[in-house]
Amino acid sequence: MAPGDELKAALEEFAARANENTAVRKMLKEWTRNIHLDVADTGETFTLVVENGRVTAVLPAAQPPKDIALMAPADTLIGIFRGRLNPMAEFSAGRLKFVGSAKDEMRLDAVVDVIWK
Amino acid sequence: MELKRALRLRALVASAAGLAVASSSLVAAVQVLAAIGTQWAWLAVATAGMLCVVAAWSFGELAGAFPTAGGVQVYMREAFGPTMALTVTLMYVLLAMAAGAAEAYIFGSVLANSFASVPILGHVPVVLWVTASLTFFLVVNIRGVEVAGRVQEVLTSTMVAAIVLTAAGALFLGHPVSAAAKPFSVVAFVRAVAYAVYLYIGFEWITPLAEEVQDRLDLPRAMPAAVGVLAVSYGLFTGAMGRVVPIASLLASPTPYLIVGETLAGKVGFWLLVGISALATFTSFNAGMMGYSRIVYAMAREGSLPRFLGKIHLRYFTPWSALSTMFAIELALSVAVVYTHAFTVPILLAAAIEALIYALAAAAVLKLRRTRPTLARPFRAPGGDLVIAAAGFLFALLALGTLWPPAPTAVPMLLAVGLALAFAYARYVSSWQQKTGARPPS
Repeated sequence: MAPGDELKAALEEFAARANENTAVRKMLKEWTRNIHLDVADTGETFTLVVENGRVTAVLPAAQPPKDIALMAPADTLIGIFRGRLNPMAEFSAGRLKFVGSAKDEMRLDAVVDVIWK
Repeated sequence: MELKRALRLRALVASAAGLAVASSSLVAAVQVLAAIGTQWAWLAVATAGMLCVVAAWSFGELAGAFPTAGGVQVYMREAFGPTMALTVTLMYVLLAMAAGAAEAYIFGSVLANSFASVPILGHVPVVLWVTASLTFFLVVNIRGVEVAGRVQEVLTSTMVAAIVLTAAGALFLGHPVSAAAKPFSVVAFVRAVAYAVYLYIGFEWITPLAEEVQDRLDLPRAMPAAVGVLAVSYGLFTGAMGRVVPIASLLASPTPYLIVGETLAGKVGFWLLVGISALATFTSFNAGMMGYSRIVYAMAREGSLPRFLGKIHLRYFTPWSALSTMFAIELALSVAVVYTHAFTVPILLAAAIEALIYALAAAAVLKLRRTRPTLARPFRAPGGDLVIAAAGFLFALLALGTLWPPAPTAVPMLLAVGLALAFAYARYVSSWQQKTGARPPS
């Protein structure tokens, strides 16, 4: 499977898990953001559309507005969204870049933690 | 289609300078005066400033080569490996707690002094003011209140202007106290420069913003500019304090700058300095507590610190567990300072750690230039290897200068214990992470 397809599958699986998880939905209540994932090694961009705490779409393109941006190679992004890699370790090591507010950064990290712990 | 988070040069300079201006810095300036005397204090502050400019160049080169939010932890990992990276990060946390304890004690003393003549409040002991100040910052941080970039610019400009204004008032209008000039000695000068390093602590804490700057050269430009602003304002203020108040009186007080304000302009001067102190404590403490709690949180999440420190407040999305733990340690340290009156111990400990970290930053630049010569470096520290090496050596010397008598013996003891524990813990965690298959850094 091409890295782009694998990432899209990982994001869709992650979105389904997030939408099913009551703790995550409570954490994301009234949270609406377009999260852009810029894949450093392939140049692709994906968008996770979050509306009022639910992931409503996983798009294989940049969907404005760009509220939050995550930048990393495909294997890093796949590893994070499949729960194999620790996002904070990747972030500290400089392999994952995040642009957005500190609160959004914490919120996303907490969501990943709740889904995969 | 870009996020509106690009930071401009002016905002970066304001952040770097604002992080360094603290109430405890004004007290550290008195230590500089005591070490070398009024006549040469400005030179000690300027010399420390010049060395910090070279340190700023080192951090600028490193931040350009590794523009990540991981900051110094990433630079040290790339240059010296994971054990050193974790040791340095833990030392940074110790520095934050030492400086935080000093700041809380001094600001608590400012409040006690300010309300001394108010019924009921006048009887509140310093320890309660210290607890109240720390609790205030804990609550503010748990609620995630951040000073916006524009507000930070206004606050920093106000503080710097007020410090320079007070210094100018003392230099041109104040009545000079008669004191015999202290004879110049090289040892005393080295000690004064070492103490003056404390005045600049924090300018490099903007390096994690490297991903958010508008121009990649703004960060290496902002840090030396901030150091320059600090050097001028602190240099003037330090000399001015020694001109209008006897050094012995300044040394005896935890809030010497209030004496200076009162001597210059009575109650107006006193309250002006209380205002500067409150602003300085708010900006530096708030940003420091927020920044360090996030470092502790990130280390817990990546498995370098106990997992309970990685808990997030599910309403405010702030690292409440890391914040509460740091609060508890800082409170314990502050209370110890209240009862021992040894407020110079955390100040000198923080200065020693910072000087060591600046020396290590210089060593990291030199090592990476040798081992990774083709690494993209948007900014290269001027002056070649020699300037960086000389500054690194001098910072190592200054670290020793803060430990040498007449510094209290608690300072070298605490530093040695802190370093040994941090290194032992870092080695344990690094080997554990290697055994459990943690992914090595790129």
